[in-house]
Amino acid sequence: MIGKQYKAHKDNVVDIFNNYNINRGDLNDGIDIKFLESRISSLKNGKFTLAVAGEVKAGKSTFINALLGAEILPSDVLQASSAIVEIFKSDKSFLKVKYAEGTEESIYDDLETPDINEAKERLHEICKISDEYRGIPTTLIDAYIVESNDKLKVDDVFIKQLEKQSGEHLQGKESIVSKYIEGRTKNIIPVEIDFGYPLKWDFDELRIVDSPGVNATGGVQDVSFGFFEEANAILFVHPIKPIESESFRKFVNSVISNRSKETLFLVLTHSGLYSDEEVKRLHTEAARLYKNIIPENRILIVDSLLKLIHSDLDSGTSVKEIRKTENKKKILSSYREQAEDEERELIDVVYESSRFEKMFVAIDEFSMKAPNFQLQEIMEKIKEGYEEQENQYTEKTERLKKKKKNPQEFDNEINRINQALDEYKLLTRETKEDFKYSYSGRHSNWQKDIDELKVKYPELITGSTTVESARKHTTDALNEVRYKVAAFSRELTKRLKDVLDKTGNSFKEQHKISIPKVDLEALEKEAKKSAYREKDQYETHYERHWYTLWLKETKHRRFVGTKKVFDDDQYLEGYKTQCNQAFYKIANDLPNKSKEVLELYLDLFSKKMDSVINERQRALEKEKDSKQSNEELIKEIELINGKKKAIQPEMSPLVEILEDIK
Amino acid sequence: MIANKIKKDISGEFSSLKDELQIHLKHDFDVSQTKHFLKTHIPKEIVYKSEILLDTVLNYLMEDARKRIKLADVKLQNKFFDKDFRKRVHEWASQLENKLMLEPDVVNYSFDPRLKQGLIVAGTTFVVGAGVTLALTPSVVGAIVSGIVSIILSAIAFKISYDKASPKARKSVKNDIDSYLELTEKQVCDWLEKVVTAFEDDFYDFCSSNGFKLEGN
Repeated sequence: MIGKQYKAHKDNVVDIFNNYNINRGDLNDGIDIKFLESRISSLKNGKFTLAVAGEVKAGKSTFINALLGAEILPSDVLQASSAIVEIFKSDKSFLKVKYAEGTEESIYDDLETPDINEAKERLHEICKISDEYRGIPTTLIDAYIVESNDKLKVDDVFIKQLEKQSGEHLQGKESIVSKYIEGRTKNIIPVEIDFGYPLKWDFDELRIVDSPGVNATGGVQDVSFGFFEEANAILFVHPIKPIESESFRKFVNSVISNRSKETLFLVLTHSGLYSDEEVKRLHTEAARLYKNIIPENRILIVDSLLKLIHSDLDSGTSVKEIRKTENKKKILSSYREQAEDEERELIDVVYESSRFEKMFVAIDEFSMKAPNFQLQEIMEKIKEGYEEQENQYTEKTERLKKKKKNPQEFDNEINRINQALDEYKLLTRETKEDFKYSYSGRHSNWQKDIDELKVKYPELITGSTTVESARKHTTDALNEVRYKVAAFSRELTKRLKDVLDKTGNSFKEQHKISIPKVDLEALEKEAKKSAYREKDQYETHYERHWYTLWLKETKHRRFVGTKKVFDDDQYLEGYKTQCNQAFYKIANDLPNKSKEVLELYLDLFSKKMDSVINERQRALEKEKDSKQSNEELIKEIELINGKKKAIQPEMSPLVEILEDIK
Repeated sequence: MIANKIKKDISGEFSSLKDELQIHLKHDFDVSQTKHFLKTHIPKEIVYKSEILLDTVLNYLMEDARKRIKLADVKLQNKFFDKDFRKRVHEWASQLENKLMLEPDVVNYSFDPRLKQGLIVAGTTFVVGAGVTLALTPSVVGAIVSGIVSIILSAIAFKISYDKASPKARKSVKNDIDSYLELTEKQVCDWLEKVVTAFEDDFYDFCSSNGFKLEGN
């Protein structure tokens, strides 16, 4: 299952951190313990989101059920998935629904009625839509109902508008559309559904998001777009035949952001209906067709129904019982034969043929990169802390030995170290000014990068011919700014580290002292936190009073007043202007905000560095002034050696995990 | 030396601003949207560029001062860095009396009889010098007055005269923006010259009060 290995590592990291915290005690080893604690806590509370996309009726619900190993979403009926459904693991089932009108409903499973899962049943009830509406774009109509303040009027113009947006033929279906609208009111249209379920997987952080269907032209509503942006991976579900999908192509090229594109998988379903050779051929064909939009290793092939049958068999359901479901019965017979011919267990044949194992491995490998990096950073910090502790213990025992041997020589040594530390202070101040110089003004590479963005994105936004592509370019722009912001402070830390290492090493050689250390990553975070907004939002100011579009002209007109009419072109132009304004606002803020971060960062750095140096100087003076007998000195040396020895057993599992993650 | 370098930088920044604005003035741009957009966009860009230029000049000044103070002892060098001249001069530049004031009260608008006609139809009064308060974030730029409003007025006039922006109308708007930027550029240049003097005076005072004689003085 997805994230199993990650979970194991995560648990180990938490243990290692707890031990480190105890061993460290009050010693200042250059690691900011509070910052490390906050990282551990975000590691514990982290979410991992898989967003599922796909056209309506593409088998999305069945796929999600297969992924969850439980039939949670109704797949045998038409699903009104105009809402985002977020499914996660919880001790007992519960359902929370938010309706378009603003009301909320919560249902918990009643444990006194073990045969009935109230929450699950209610979810089915909410999502279910009568079969007679199968031929109309219910998701889109729901969105119109949600957006409109008045009752929708169904006529030619409205039908054409629906056809244009959904890519479906609706002529002659006016009456069924009217009937649907008649029964749909905002108080029954769900917009957000949270569903907790006692799922069998170990990976507690995993959340599956079912998004409203992608329309035939690849478009998605804003709410789905937002979820795709946040997701760790997006799985676009499409039947393996016909392999060509215009909606997928458009979805990738002009709807989702470049960032989302990097996390996208194409999941081709229904493979169990075809022979292995045919599946292989279709896979090759898909790789050829989509080679410019998705790498081959992110095209996955599965059969959701077979995976569901596997879950049934795994939970002890008899074949006879499974065969009561018509579609399962159909597909099961050939696999029963195969199991018999190959003298294997049916459950194994079915699982292998579902191809889910391969899919889990592929998603796991891809999606765990970022969380694993987070683990790696924590481990490296702890390792660094332990190394510094060892270093300090070694130096202190050396000094104590010297004190024992020749007290005068020891005093001179302390004075020498104190002077060297003063000079180190000047070196850090010079470094600080060097940084200010290289990150400000028009000749800095940082400024040049910002100016390049300011040309690139307004050009793309202004040149957009649809609202969706303007939205995509704006999101790409904001993502790039966000990326640059993160890269900026990361680069500061890296460069500062490099400079301090380089100057520190020659300083160390020249003055024979260990260099005072500060936790640069912790400073980076603290400086960034106070200067940047993490999330920027943009919105249009136009209201979609589109229902006035089909006002009919008559021969005898008289002026009765004005009415707001939705104008597609004006909407697009206005939207683009808003997008440009939003982008410029953020991009123009960048030099000043980054300067704020830089100033804050460097001030924190010199403050912290001064405090570490002063603390060390005070400790050295104290060491100099303390009168100790030979026995006392020997005892202290032994105590320090004991602490040093205690570090060793902690280091080996730490190094092992680090190697494993890398 | 520094004065020459910064003049070149100012000219470079303004010329790139002119180029960047072309993004919004090319193709068959929508006059009504663009006019609203440019009304606030251009002043904001000038604020943005001025801040960058201020940092650029501070870089030159600090680089020079560091070279000169290098001959002092470690203690004074430390004191120099702790004094934070960048911050001091930045604060000086943000004081009301030292802020950059952009007041291009003379903008030569391209003459076209239809423009005049358009203005009459639009019922707008062409007032040069009428103040406009822009919602600007706290910055070293104090006020931006009038010029940009006039540019927008000319755009409205063309909208009414031709209904849609004709190539000639766009050319005229472009010329107006150019004239506005040319005047602003001069003001930014004068302002930065004052910044250079302020920094040098401050640095000289620091050295004299600490008994350090600067070379060449």
